[in-house]
Amino acid sequence: MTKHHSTRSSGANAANGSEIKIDPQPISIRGVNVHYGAVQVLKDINLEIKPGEFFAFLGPSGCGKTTLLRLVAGFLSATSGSVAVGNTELEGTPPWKRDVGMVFQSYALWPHMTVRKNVAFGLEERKLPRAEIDHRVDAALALVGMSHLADRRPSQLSGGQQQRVSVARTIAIRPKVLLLDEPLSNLDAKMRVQVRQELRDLQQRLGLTAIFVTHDQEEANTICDRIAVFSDGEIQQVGRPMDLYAKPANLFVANFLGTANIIDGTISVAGGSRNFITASSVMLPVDETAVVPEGAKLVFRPQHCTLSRVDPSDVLLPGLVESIEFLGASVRYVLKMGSDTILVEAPFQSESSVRAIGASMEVFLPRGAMLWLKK
Amino acid sequence: MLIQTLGFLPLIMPPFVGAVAMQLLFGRNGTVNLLLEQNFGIRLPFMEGLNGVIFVQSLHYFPFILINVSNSLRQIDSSMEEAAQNMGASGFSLFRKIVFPLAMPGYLAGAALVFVKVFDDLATPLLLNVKDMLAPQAYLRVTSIGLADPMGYVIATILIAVSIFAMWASVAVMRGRDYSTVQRGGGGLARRKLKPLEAVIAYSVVTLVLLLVLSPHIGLLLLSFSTIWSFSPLPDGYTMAHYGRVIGESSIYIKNTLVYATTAGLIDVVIGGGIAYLVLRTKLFGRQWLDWAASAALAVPGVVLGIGYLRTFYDVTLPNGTPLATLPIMVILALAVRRLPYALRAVFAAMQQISVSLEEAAENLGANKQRTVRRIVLPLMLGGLLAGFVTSFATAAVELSATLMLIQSSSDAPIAYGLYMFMQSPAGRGPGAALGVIAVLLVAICTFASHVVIERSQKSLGMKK
Repeated sequence: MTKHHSTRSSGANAANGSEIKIDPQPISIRGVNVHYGAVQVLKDINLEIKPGEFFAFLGPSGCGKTTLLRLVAGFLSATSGSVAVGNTELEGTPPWKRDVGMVFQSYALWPHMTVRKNVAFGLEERKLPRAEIDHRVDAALALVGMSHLADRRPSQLSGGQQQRVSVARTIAIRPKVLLLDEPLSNLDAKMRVQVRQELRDLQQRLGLTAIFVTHDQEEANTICDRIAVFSDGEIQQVGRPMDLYAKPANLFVANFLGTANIIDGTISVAGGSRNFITASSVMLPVDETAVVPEGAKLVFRPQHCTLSRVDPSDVLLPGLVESIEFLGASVRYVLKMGSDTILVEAPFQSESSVRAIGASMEVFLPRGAMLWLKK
Repeated sequence: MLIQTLGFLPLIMPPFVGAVAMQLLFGRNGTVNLLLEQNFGIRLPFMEGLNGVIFVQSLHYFPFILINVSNSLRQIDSSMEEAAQNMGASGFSLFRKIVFPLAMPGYLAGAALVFVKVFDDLATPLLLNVKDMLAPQAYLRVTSIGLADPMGYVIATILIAVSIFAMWASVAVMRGRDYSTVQRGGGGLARRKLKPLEAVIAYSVVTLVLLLVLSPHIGLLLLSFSTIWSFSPLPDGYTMAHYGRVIGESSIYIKNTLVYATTAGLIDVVIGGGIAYLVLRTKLFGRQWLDWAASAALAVPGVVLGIGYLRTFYDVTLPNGTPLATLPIMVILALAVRRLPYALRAVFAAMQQISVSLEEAAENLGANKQRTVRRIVLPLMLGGLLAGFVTSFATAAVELSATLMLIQSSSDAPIAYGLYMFMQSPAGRGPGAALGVIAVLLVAICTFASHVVIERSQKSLGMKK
């Protein structure tokens, strides 16, 4: 089914894709605070999203990312602060006058209308002439490769098809910006990979500014230009996916994007050498030039460790093998370093090279891979 | 399916109608006692005084308990039972320790409902000539001594207090005991395979109970076709004359019922829809109170409501001197208030099934609140609105307690009132029974038709799996 559709849609896109062109608009969010009763769910949010950017709100559930998206759509109002799309301030504008297209997590297709009626709804509400409506509905359905199912009811469609209709319905009104609320979470794993690429292609072709809400770092990393990482109603960091991984701003970001070893300890300078002493008194040398803020913890990725010294300056981590997980291409060792548990991933070469449980093991960490982060 | 159909019977037939039929079957000179006397020379006082009221009401409202308990049982996950078996429980101890406690909420809910209904019933004791109960007393006081008699109001207050207490008690006991334990994919208790002997016993018990429960209805049907039925196990002869008489003379009752019940049902659906929208979709201050206030009507017995309306509006007169309380509009209002909780529940359930995101999607695409309600909410709620209307309509059509107080002339009377009038005289019992059968058929047809429509619309929306 998927193959059939994608060939179909790419053929149709060539004909109709150029027809729908939307002027990319910037989105600026300034000083936004949102309270639910006594609980503050968004704290002083500031974001400038560039025209044509595919931007992700990433974070665990309850972090405020969906709240901010709904604020842009106008389904709730902020205690203070402002949201603007292009040059238009949106404060006080009801949802139906905002022209910000939203794709809902549940797709929110109306079960009592056919696919065609669903897509035509927004155009009918705008009182466009019938011919124009028909024309735009056809174009939008063709764009997502759903023309042949126009007379079906939503209940007769698969999840992926419903998702496409939902996108077509939003695109048909030619919104200023596109808001996607976890659009992939109701699809199975295989569809998710395919549909996220389709969404990216569509957004690129239309040149539309889009906000993509997700809790899945892989989705955000693969299709988004920039990501804002949310936690506890605050933005932790904004940046390109690779920057977030390589230079996380704090412990939350380091831990949420990928896996990180986090080790507590204190810096001590004695006899001209600078060391990091862990809670269980393991001593690790630290560069003179390294900037270590007061109370910072040592953070490093399991993949950055090696089992043999590569550079003379590499830091030695002494450990005891507690357990081993075979992941296929690599082997993950769970090591005890004093009272700390650390994860180390090494490429799998042969069974004989895998260390035994209980054996002591020396691991090496490049100095550049040592990050010093606070909460 | 049989259980569901049974469940509707007490809703659409007032118990006093059954009482008359029961007297013919179980009364001093009824079928059963005549047979007992011929064969064994004994008579059993099934229908004497309070016995009769208890007997009639417990048979009549049996399906209410049955439905509640079987819902409860259906919601018990089979793994509960399997876990108990795994721990070594079986047979009666399994039932006593696991199944029965888990079904308890169903019993309680059913019992509270039946208590309030029986408590409020006025016509059954009156027809069985039992006057020493609260509801009949309230009625007799007001009708014989007059509106000014304070005792009527004292009784009314007691009625309300006890009703509210009963409902509160059932809620209080059930608090924190929501035992719906069905997991996804798991379905109810395991069905048992009965041994042949067990099956025979089980089937005969079920058949006996069914016969008892259906006996008022069977009796009514026989009565409506009988020429004379007295001092004999079965009617002496059969005739269609009663139907002819009813259709000839009493079509006014049918017309009135349709007008009252339809109007009351419409009022309920409109008000219920409004309340449901306010409570579920807005942040209006005090919206929860609105819901409670509307549902409180459940705890107000019909007699009390009738007396209340009569008292309040009797002194308010039209320019020509007619008291407002005697106008048919009062009957409609009283019915609408009485049945609002039923309609409200149906409409509430329908609106809760509509995901808010369906409405948000419409707003996002440019439809304002009114347009969203018209194009999205209303079409999706159609089934629920219809269900609410039917529940209101069907129950309002057979309501007697409140209307008995408010009806002044028989030209304004609905079927239930007509039935009551017929049933008071022995000669009227044949036509009365015929009218009863017509009422049951009328309501049953409407209910069935609406069920079909609702099912069909839900299927086409793909809402039903």
